[in-house]
Amino acid sequence: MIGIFRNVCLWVDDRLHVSKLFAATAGHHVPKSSGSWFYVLGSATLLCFMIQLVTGTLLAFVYVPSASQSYETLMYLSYEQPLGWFLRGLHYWGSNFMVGIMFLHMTQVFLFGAYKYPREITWISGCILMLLTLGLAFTGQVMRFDEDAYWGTGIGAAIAGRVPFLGAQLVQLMLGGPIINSDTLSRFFTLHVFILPGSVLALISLHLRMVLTKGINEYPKPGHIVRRETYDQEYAAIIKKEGVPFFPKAISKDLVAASIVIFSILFCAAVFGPKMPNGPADPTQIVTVPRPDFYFLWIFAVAALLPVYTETFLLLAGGPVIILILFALPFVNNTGEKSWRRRPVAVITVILIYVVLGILTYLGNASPWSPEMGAWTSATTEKSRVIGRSPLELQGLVLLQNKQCRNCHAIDGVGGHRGPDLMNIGTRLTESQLIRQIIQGGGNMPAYGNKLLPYEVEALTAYLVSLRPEGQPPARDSSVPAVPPKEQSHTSLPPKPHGES
Amino acid sequence: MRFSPGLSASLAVLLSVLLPACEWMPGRPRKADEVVAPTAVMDFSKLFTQNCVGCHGAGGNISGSFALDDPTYLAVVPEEKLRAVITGGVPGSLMPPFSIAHGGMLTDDQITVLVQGISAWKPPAANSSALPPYSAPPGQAAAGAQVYETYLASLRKMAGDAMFADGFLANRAFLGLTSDQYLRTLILIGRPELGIPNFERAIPGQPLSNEQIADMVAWLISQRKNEFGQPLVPVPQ
Ligand code: HEC
Ligand code: HEC
Repeated sequence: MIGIFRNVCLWVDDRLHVSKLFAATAGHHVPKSSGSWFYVLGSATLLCFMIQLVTGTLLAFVYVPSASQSYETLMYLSYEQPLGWFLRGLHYWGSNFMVGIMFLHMTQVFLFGAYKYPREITWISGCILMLLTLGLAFTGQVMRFDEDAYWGTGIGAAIAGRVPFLGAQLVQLMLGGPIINSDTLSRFFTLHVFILPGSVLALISLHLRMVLTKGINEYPKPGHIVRRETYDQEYAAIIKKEGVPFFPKAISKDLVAASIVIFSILFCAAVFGPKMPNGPADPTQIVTVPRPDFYFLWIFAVAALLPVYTETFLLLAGGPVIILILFALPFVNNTGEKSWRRRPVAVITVILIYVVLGILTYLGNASPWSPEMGAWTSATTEKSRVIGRSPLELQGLVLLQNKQCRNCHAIDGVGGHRGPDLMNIGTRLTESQLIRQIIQGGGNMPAYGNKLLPYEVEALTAYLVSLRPEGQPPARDSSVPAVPPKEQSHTSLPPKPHGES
Repeated sequence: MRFSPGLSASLAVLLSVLLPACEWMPGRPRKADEVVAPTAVMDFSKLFTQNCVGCHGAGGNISGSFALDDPTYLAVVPEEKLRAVITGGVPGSLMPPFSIAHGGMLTDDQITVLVQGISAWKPPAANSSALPPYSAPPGQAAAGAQVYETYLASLRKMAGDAMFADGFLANRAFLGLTSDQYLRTLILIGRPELGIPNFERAIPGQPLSNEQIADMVAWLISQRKNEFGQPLVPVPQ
């Protein structure tokens, strides 16, 4: 009996080469020094991808990629299907973790010089994986097909539309028509569940194949220089001297890391939940300020902060340039020092990139540049900015709402933040400066010259002059002699005695 | 080969979290928090804070225009008037139209919710028959001038000088921004939250009569140097 079993096993092994495969993969020898906590990030990214495959497949059982039904199926998953919300949460947090850990992995590879000779293709395949992962993240947020997705896709299309010569065709290809419609969603769905994951799988096998053939980077020692002529022998010597089989020796830290990642994703999904759609996509809805998921906030910030005339150029050229730099890196910097302790430029680059991305993400999240569309009807005003005002000044406050100034200007922090807070504007600008600012605009403020009637300007100015701390006189034009504040303060037309028409 | 501690830890965590990850978890989205299309919002307080509080006070908030929970106002204003103003705004004034048909963002059903919600603030004891009517044609401008002087002098004593430096209601720019009805409304209800009492208490011991209010409105209208809503002729300095 045992003999038969053994023979069957040997037959299967002989035909499928299982044990050879095992020896060549999980059992292959890696430098002992690579059993470091810094080396778990790659396998953790892979793990996230696996989680995405499983949770994504489960979601696809319910989700219908059609403009009319996707929103309903998401609602069904979130509210009706038992634990449907949890599944959505896992997929959402899985993607956040995948993007985050992937960038950490890239940073570690960069700082440890692992992209240098002979691992150029490992690095390049990793860069392509990064692009594919970002593609998955972008198409994934479109699956929510809510306001954010609608506008995000629209902005993506607007960028594509600016590509010289091919713009219109690219938009057609991306949206399946000149505008966002049901075909758009089908296209993004196909990308999200077939094309991109398939490409990721193909590239992962290449990436891992390279890891196996060219070996895992040894933990770099400061002063140990990579030379094309000698590196291969040196690496072989390291493996021979202190190589350990990946499984079961080097893998233990990866497993601990895996459990931390799994736990974190479960935790975030359970505690923070999935990202809920922010209302069904509706092209007539102009109040929402669309905002991408966090990994694209920095692009959102860059696009918003750039001066308009640089926008097209930078948006179109910026991406390819960054990709080119990434791809060229292992060839430009092929040999030499690997340890980050001897590569200050590399360390400074990393710090700079993280700081810049951090600030841009923060700005993208706060997006102070977007007017707050609903502020004009909803922003309240502190009592002290209303009490004691004349009817004219109060109409000035109403005008500040009615003309939507509040969408850009806060008073005491309430309202939009595109322009300065007007809380003490009366101490900063004189009446004529205020009138000039309102009529001529300038510095990102539209000119209201032909949109306001003269007495509207008068009411606005009267109210703005009254915005100052108690007891503080209004701002004064230093080129004219001082007038007692009492006379200066009422510039509005005094009532004429009745009878005079 | 030992069973790896990492693997067993992750399995344990997986099971312990998955099993009880049920309805009580804080991450579970709640139906009430669902973001609905703006035209599907039917909650009165949400509609009110999104659309009205920027200009109108209520519930202790004060704002540029009168408080929509003012008891005198609610006692006199007819419900159809509320609906008409919210729907179409006050043309030429700073009160914008809100119905989609007039270029606003609210559906007729949402406007009904607003009208009902505002009317529900009406104090139960309000007896509108004892009050001057909500609207009336303007009276005699000449008589109104006198009443206005007494009115202004009385308010000045009650509310201090700050509000009166530029002519109060008789300011020409103010008049150019304000409809005839709003002038009447303001005299009727005052701005109690700003220290301006309503028609009953504006002149102590002498509630303003309907006639006096109409005369004052007529006089104020005569002070406009323009058609309401039309450009004011610049005054030579
Ligand atoms: C699209 C947004 C936007 C709108 C709408 C807008 N502003 Fe501005 N406003 C700005 C910006 C931005 C600045 C700063 C301009 C600069 O830096 O020169 C500004 C500056 C000002 C200033 C000078 C502030 C200071 O501290 O120097 C005043 C006063 C002002 N705005 C009044 C108004 C009034 C009144 C309205 C409505 C009639 C209005 N703004 C509408 C964006 C806006
Ligand atoms: C942009 C500022 C603004 C907003 C927002 C606004 N109002 Fe008004 N409202 C005014 C002004 C100013 C007037 C007085 C108009 C006039 O001159 O007749 C007014 C008048 C009114 C009147 C009629 C007053 C009268 O004389 O009887 C009603 C009722 C009213 N508003 C209700 C509302 C409601 C309800 C909302 C929210 C849906 C709202 N308003 C939002 C500014 C505003």
